[in-house]
Amino acid sequence: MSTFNLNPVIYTDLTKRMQGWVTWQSGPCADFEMDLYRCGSRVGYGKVYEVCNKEREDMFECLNHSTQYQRYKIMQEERKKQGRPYLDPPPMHVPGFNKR
Amino acid sequence: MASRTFKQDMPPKGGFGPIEWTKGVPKPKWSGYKQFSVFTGFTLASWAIWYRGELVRRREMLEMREARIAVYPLIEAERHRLYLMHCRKNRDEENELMKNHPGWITGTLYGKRPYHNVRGRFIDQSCESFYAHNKPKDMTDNTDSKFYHDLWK
Repeated sequence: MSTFNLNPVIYTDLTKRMQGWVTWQSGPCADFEMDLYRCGSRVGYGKVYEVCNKEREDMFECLNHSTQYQRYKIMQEERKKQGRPYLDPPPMHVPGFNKR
Repeated sequence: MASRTFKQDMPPKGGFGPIEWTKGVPKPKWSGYKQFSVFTGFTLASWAIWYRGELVRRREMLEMREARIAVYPLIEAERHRLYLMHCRKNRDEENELMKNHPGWITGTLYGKRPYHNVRGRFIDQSCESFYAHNKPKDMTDNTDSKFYHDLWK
């Protein structure tokens, strides 16, 4: 493996920065994307939907927050229906510490 | 009568002065060498004075930076604790709110969890999940950036 050259053919100052533009590795879903690609690279493109389904769904959930948004909608409607008061807001700058 | 009061137009005493035929460019008060040396001297003196102030500023910035680095773990720990305390409040509130909702399990969407979490990591919640029991205004105040405020409206 010591003679295996892992560098790209054209390596400039932009190479490392562009990797953050064309992948999700520079965002909050970097770990999920890495899991998915690791699984997919070992299994092959044809079997991703069967074998790597959990990683795929986690990746989409991280990107779109679809399940959490649905929960939010249902709970807000239920709150309006019941006429229940809202909670006090949390202090500022508390969430969001895991976003790169 | 007319010859006695008539005065002929004669040149002044000592004759006329010399005729100004040259361009008449005025000479500067300071020569070019003097101007340049004043400029250079003033600049060098001001640089020296500024540099003394810059050293003082750098020392102060270094001290503030070191203090911030020393205190930062405590602040982050406080922040994480507040986050988890709010998550607990959310969970208790959700238990109360969705008591009589058919088929609801707290933390899930009718039994379907948001993440499978194969690797067992701590996954940060989305804004909707964190501010689930607050007004939408509280969420947008803290999360929306002002440029994208009305993007989807």
